[in-house]
Formats: sequence, structure tokens, C-alpha cells
Amino acid sequence: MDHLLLLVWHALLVSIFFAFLWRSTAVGRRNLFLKTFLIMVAGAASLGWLMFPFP
Amino acid sequence: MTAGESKSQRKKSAETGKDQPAKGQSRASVSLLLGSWFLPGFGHLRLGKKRRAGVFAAVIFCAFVTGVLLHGEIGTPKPESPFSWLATFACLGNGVLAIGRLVWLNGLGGLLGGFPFGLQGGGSPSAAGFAYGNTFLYTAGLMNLLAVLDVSDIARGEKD
Repeated sequence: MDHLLLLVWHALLVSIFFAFLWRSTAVGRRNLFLKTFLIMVAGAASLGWLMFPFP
Repeated sequence: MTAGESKSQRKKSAETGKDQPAKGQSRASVSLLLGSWFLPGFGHLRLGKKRRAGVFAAVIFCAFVTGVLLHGEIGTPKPESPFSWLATFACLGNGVLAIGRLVWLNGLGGLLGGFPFGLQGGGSPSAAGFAYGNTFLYTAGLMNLLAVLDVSDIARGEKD
């Protein structure tokens, strides 16, 4: 089981959902999708990396 | 808005036979909201939002199936764990998907006879994907509940 793949898959589904829920134009949806997707994936990876030194 | 205007809008909606958005309508029909909960995407489809309906249905279905494939457990109430009611609420947000899964696991007789504390939610706590599966199941249910609120907003004319 690839944890990163699951993270990306979850972020993808949630980002698509909220892009269609909160925006009504194609450009607005694309921008919100990219923003939320990148924040979730990069944020989770960064947080994981920052937690490396802790036991 | 006056009571007369509200009454005339309800009458107009009843005449057309559809739950089309009407600006300033005070509330969405219960059947529309229940249908939207039970079948993800139904409410938006009924309101003419075909693309949004398709996307919501696909996203919720994919998240639910992923959760089940990862051996996630459909939340069921447990007497010793009050927080299990929250998991139950989140999972029941999946509508027909959650109910179908519960029927699959318990049988129709078991579902009716075992409610609320005798239900089996499936899943395998020892599986590596158990926690991930639960997360996908909860997320799918909560997304569908948000979609129901969206249907309510659209039906009341508060949103496009």
C-alpha cells in the first residue's frame, strides 16, 4: 500500500469536490483546484518531513 | 418578501412540477433534499446542474469504494463509545452506498433487527489501510452532506 498515492488520491477527490462546490466558472474551478490540491499534498509532505527529527 | 409572494412562488413551483430555483424561496422541498442525500448527485441533476451532479456522484462514489477496498469500517453506534455516533453520522451521509453496504454485511433482517447497537460495519482493524479506509468513508459521507446543503442553497435561489 502506497501511502503517498493514497494521500494524492484523497487530495485529488477533495479538491475536485470543493472546486465544483465553491466556484461556478471554469477558470475559478481550475484555480481553486490547483490551490487546494497543492496545499494539501505539499503541506502534508512538508509536515511529514518536519516530523522526521521527532521520535 | 410577503407571505402572499411566498405562497404564489410555492404554487408556481407546484404547477411546474420541478424543483427549479426560485429567487427568495424560503425553503427547499424535503423530497429533493432526501433524494439528494440518498442518491449522491440526484439533487443537482434535478435542479439542472448536470455537470456538478456528475462530478459529485463520481467523487463520492470513488471515495466510498476506495474506503471499502482499504478495509474501512462503516461507522455503527457502539454503546461504550459515544463518539461512534459521529462516525455513524458521517458514514450515513453516503446515502444508498452506506445503506447498501450495511445490507450487504448484515442482511436486510440483520439491519432492521440489529439497529442500532447490533450492526456490523465490516472492515478489518488489523489491515494496514483500515484508518485510511475510514477516512475515505467519512470524507465521502461528509462531502455528500455538503452537497445536500448546496442543493438547498440552489433551490432557495441563494446560489447559482
